Amino acid sequence: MPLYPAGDGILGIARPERAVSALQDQVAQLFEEARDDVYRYLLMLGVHPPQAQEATQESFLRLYACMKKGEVIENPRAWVFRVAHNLGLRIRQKQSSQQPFDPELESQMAVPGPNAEQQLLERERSLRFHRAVGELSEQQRRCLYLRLEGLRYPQIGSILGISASTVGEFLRRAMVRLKRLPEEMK
Amino acid sequence: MNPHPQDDELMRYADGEMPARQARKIRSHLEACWQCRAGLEDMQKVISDCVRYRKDLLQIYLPSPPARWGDIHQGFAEIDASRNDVPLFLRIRDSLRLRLAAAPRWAAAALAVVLVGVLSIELLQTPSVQAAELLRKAAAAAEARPAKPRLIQIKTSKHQITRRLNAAVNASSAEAQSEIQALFRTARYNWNDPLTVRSYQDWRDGLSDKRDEVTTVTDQNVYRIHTSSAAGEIAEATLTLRILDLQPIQERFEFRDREWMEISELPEDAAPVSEAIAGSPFSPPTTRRAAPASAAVRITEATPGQKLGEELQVLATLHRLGADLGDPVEVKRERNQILVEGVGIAPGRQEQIHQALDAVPNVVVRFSEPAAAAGGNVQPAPVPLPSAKSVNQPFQARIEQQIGGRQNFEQFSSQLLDMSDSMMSHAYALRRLSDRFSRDLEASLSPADRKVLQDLNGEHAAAIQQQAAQMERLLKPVLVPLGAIPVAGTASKIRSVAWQPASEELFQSGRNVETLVAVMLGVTPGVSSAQLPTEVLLGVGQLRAIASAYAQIAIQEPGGK
Repeated sequence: MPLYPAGDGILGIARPERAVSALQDQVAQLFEEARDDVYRYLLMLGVHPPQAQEATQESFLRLYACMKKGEVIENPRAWVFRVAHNLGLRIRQKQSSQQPFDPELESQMAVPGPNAEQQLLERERSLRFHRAVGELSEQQRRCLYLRLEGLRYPQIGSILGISASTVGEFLRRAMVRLKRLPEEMK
Repeated sequence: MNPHPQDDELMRYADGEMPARQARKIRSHLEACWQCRAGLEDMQKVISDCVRYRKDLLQIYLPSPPARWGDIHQGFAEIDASRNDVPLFLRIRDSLRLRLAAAPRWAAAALAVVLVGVLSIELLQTPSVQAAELLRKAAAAAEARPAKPRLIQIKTSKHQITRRLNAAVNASSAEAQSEIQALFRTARYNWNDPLTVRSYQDWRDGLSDKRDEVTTVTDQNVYRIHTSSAAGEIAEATLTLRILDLQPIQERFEFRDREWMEISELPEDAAPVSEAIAGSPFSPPTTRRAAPASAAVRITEATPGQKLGEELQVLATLHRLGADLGDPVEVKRERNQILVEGVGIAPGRQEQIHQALDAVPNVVVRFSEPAAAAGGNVQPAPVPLPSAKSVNQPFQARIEQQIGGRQNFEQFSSQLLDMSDSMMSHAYALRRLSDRFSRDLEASLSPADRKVLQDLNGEHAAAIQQQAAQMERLLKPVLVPLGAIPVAGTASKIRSVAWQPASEELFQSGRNVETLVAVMLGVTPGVSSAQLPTEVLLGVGQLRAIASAYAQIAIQEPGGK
């Protein structure tokens, strides 16, 4: 039975309206600080760049709309990630016939010249780690990306719809998998 | 010294996700234990690698946004200036024109694609569409529920009556009832079944002019759909839906003549209908005589044992589907319902779970983010191991030599780690069972439910036993030539009498094997002493024996010997 996930709608619990300009400054500052992180997260969800950029902007505007209504949002950064995550998934759902976005990082990373041995090693090391991350399960990877963005277990759990302890277990397994790479290859 | 913390505890400790008291214990242990400190440092190294990966790779090589980031203040201004009756997608379209004006020309084509996507999404977010969509889902959910009489209370400024829907109404309440009924008639609202999504939909659909607002009240776990209209007798109406199952639980109407009405559902075990009207000038609509009739349809509150039994059946169903081993599916009880929640579950698996559980009473299956499921539930493929040159661990080099080269070592390593993962997923499943079904609770189960629990236990134990046996078969021919002393007929060392504590022993035995194997393969640091091959074989043998002994304990009756 498909249901709406909690908190997915535009909502509001009445509170005294705060000063609009201060609120705008707060959201604008967060936008400056976090928009690239949110955008990258959406790319890693498989959303193509134009849609990822739009969804990113939309997430912050929604934050503003909700806070303007007086909704109490304890951690706006985590809230934006949650909204962006849901938007990203919906975009993916709408475009299910389209291949998810693949950044093709290997081709993006220039191959250094023949004498740049150190750079070559660095490149190989990075790519190997990237491949190892790619071989994590989808859930492990999402937990990892969100943790890398500074979100705590309960916040990640809230975004992915799982418990904080499950987040911990996914992360532990991810760590074990990534530990398999010997030191010199990381 | 405290016992060594597990990996997951170290992980939570490193992440600051541990309660202060527990964290203090770990900190104190770490000060005393080199081994665990090294383990923590190792974990920190992987975390550093992840951070470096984000900084040096993702931040640099992921493509930049196709257009320059616009001034978000324009978006704020549009939200501030917007009227609710202007569709959101039009506002977004206009704001996109402004905000992406400076974008390169090629971005125009991309923008067209974006708009199609965004328009489709935003249609869902326009309040009226959102309300209609929510009502549609709630109506579908209502159809899927078995029809049953419900007890509702209707309050106005003058009257308060209690009605049992889908049941005969006593005529003695004629006066108040007729007044309230007249209100419904005037408002063109369904009197026969007022507290339903369908009735609300019918009323709402009949309005020539309406405005909606959908609100989520997270602390009450409800959605509220608020509809106001300039047409008709009802100026405003609010329908409250429970988030869990979209069941309507309350309605409120504000009439143009300032009269109001509230309809709410009463629990089945509320006071008998004849007594439910207190402080009302209105006499009850039903009499005590009617009570036996209602008792026939009364939904009796399940006993704790029955509730547990229901939960157990759900777990057993998930187990039959293999969905209790690593799938992010959680089973929890919320009031009188069992909620089965999953995220990122593959569509095929979702369908299986729906088919298996949708017909089960009191069970709500909820998957979020279905689009995420594509490829979301795939077991991680083995990570290719590096070239032989990079392996410094002498023991791994010896294994490699023993089994004929790097490629074989990689295959050997992957197989072992997969078996170990699979074995641990069963150990975790057993641990969850023992956490949920304590000895006391188990005793309250019916014999049939106890059998289900025993079967679940037995199957997990058998799977662990099987995985251990496979690991043993794989390891012996490799480790014995490297000095491992084969251990024949390892005696069971299980100490507990009841399966609940025994499951913890089994879990710890599994964890021991997982760690030894990881050390042996260089997945995790550890001392590869000369005894390691023997320790690994011994650990696997013990695991097999403990799993076998556990299976015997698990089939005993609670309190049995």
